[in-house]
Amino acid sequence: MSGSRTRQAGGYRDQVGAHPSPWEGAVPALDVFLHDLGLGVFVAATVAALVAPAVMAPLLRVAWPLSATIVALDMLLLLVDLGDWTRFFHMFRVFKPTTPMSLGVWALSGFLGVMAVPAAWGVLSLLGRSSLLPGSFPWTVAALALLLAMPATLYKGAVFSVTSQPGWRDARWTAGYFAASSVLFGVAVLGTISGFARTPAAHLMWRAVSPLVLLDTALLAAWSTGLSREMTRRMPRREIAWFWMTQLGSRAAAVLVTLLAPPSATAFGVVALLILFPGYSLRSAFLRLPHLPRLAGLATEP
Amino acid sequence: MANSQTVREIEVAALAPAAGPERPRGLLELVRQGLARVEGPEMQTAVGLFTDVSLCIGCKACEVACKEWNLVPSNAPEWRAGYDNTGSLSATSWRHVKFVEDFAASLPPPPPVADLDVLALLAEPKQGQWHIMSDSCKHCVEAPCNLACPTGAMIHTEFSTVIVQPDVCTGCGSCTSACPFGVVAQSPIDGHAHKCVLCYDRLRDDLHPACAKACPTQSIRFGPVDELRAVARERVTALHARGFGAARLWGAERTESYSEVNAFYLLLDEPEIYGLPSHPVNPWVHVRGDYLRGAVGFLAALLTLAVFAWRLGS
Repeated sequence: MSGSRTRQAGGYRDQVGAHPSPWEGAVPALDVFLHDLGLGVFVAATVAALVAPAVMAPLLRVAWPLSATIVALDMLLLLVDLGDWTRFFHMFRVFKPTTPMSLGVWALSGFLGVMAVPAAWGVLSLLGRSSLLPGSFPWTVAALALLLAMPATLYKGAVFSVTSQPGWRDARWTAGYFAASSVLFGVAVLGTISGFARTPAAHLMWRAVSPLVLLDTALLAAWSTGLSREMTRRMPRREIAWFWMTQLGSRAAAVLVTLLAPPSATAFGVVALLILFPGYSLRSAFLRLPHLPRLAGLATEP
Repeated sequence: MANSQTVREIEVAALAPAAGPERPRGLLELVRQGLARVEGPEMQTAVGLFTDVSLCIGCKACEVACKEWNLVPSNAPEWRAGYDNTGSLSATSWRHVKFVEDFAASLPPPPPVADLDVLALLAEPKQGQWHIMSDSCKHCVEAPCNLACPTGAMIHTEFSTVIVQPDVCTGCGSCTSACPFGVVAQSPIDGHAHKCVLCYDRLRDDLHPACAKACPTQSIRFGPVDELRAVARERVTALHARGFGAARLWGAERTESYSEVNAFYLLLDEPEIYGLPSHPVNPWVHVRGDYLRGAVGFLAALLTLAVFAWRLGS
């Protein structure tokens, strides 16, 4: 239509699109972070222990209970987020593997149920009573938990990418990035524990950090290509630049520390902070993105 | 009178329940009944709504009828520019009549009343027009809300409409996040998702939905979807012939990125001014790729870790 006509601020152009997602605020952000952290600790510890049992097995008695505790805390947050915890049981009415939320609830609940055994074994080991459970039993159950850990890890990113929310819907690598960074989280936490415990696992974790950070950065780059359009519409340029500088800077610093310092508990603590803090901040910013108002002059859908 | 009625209801409710299906006894029976496959109702002809905005007069009878029949709570009055005081579709507004004023920015001053000539006024070129549209759930054939629902609360009925079953809705927000049209919303009252159910109870009783029944101009037409599509195409042709060259159907046909919808529209201008996307995208077209990319990221990280563990372990 010609420019001389008025249309009451363009009609309903500002209403084109989805309602804002109710997944907003500290609880969902913490949920995503703890989910990735808890599963990352388990997956990193178990896979490394399967490949190098002599080096990694001593760490499992801490890693398994820790992972189960973090995932249990995460599930508690999910229940809190629902408002009424009894509604959670409706999730088990159906199993829809193509629906990430359904797949995730089944896989995560199954994982936590199965993890009770390795976690109990870990606690008993720490108390010096591991003989109460037969030697191979916790391992067999942990292998089953590992099978459940993969869908449990993947679902969280897919939950966001199959929405119609601006930014989330465009980021095709959300599941890939979250999954890879959860392994990195796990390595950072396990490395810190092994650094404090002075076990040989610290060397393994120390060496694995740099390549995992590089993989994480590559996937972050792929992920950010989908996010960038909506970020430029909703965040001032300066804020975006600052955001990516802190993300990339912390990764570069983590790599530098692993290259220049020996794997001490302090160095691992620093590396863990350089990985976990930006990890939480990234997830928090990602969840906030569709809720940010469009910048002036960009008020309508393209 | 009201009190005696209330007491009477309580007395009725307190009576022994009528003989119904026996409750399962014992855990095994409970599990068996839980796993038993229940036959759904027989599929009926797909029905839907055809909303012709060229006929809408903005009376909001559809909004009122919807609220009355479905017992949807009222909204607090909200003053906005124009006649729209509903704002948007929500858990408590399953219908939303939209008003768009499409007039010249500055109109010439009207002539003195004494000089007014009705016939001349009718003959003079129009200065602009109203776009008035009654919006609601689109009842998509491949509904993102249905695909996103993890509990089966969001279902396709035997009439090919999409409804929410609030009793099994967890309020997880998946449907709200998935719907590309901003239809499904969570209620601040009960936390469940709510939206137009196309008067499912009325359909089962062979009645028309309340909105279509109340519409005084047949702007909202109800019927078998195939018939409605044929009617809609004829109407577009007629409008084109009468000079409304921008008249078009929205949602009547499947596109590359979205299925056809069972509540579709005849619009008089581009969809965006009515709050509809020109090219809607079903987010589920990516779901397989998203899972695959997730697996790639996960396995790549595990492989990296395993290589270092193997080198150090050996």
